[in-house]
Amino acid sequence: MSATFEEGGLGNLAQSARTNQLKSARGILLGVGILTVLVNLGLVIFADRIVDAEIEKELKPVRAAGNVIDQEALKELREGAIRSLRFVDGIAVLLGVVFIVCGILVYTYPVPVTIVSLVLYLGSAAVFGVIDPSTLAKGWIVKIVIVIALFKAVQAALAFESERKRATTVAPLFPT
Amino acid sequence: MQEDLFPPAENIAEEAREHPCWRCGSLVAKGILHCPECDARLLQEEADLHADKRHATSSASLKLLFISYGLLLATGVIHAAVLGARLEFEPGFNRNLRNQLFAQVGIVEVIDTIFVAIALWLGHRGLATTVPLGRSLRPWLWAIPALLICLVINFGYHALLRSWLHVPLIADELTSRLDLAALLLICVQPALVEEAFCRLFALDCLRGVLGVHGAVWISATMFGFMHVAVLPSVPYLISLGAVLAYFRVASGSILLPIALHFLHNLAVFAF
Repeated sequence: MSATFEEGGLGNLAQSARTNQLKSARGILLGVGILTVLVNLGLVIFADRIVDAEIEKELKPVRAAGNVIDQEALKELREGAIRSLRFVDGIAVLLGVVFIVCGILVYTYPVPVTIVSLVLYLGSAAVFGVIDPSTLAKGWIVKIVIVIALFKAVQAALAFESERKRATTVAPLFPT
Repeated sequence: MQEDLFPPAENIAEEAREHPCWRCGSLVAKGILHCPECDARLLQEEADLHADKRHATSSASLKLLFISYGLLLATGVIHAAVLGARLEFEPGFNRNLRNQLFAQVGIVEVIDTIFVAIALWLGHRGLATTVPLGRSLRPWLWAIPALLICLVINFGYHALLRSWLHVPLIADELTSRLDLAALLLICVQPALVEEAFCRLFALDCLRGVLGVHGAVWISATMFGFMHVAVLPSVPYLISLGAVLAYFRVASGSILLPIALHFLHNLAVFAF
């Protein structure tokens, strides 16, 4: 009897440790989500100014060399660049919203949500790395910590779910 | 109907693992708490032990899945970076550049093949699906119309990207002429290796811990992100990945998605 009680106690301790891991995963997901939404929303709003600044930077040496710029082609290029930037950053805003939703739902559906979060986090890091390779180097330690924490959360969610299933199928310790 | 087409992976995985009942001796699948023959209650510890083992296996498979996924993404990012740098310094697309790009694609695909082979060798549990022959033929009949729909969506989506974003798509240049290198690198290798990773390893790993639809869409998302070098195509590729994954689950065989993937990529050259 005491063994059962102790096991129950240890089980509860383990479950509470897993809940803590899920809690930190929730914090990470909400943090990453809110940051992604805010940064990319800013980029969507100020896309035209960013593109203008980049074009100006590219055109400076061309003007200095005394070359004539085709204004029609420049206008088309500018519009295409603004649309592309808004398209990519719009997807990034959606991704941020998905992270926030994952953070909210992590206790309700721990296994699917933690797996989806890890897949999307790795995927989004790769996407931003392709768009701007310098982002790969920026904060790489933080990124590795986040990936490890999310993977720990996946493991915790698997154990949490398995324990929850076990608790619902109650059976005695000894055969009758 | 849904259960017929998509048998739950847990049942398949547990099929072969049985142990004798302590009372009547009949074989009972591990994890079941009551003997179906004599209704004897089976030991909780035994069920727990089995659940723990299963959890450890799932956890190890998932670790391997995420490591290999990370490595494939890293190769994709490096591939895209080198591709971008090459195109920036070349004034126009010519035969020489095309050959160089194909050489680069070849190197990336060899690396990907090695990663996928190691992942499959170390971690694939092999959930052999038990779809009856009559039912497994049905998805093969549906495959051609589904492929045609996918191709229409593909061409429509990319036409929209070209006209709306004015984005030059490097894939257009690479798929302009079909030769042996193009056939091997764009049709054969992706059909074999990507299907082996996404529709065999990832799908089976995820079906062990998630439902069918969850596993299908997450493996499809992985498939999409693996094509990060052709970034604008990622949203379309996620939906293509889901279609291929549903065909894998419905047919119970990896051959159908391999054939569809090969035909899909071949059709991109044809049109």
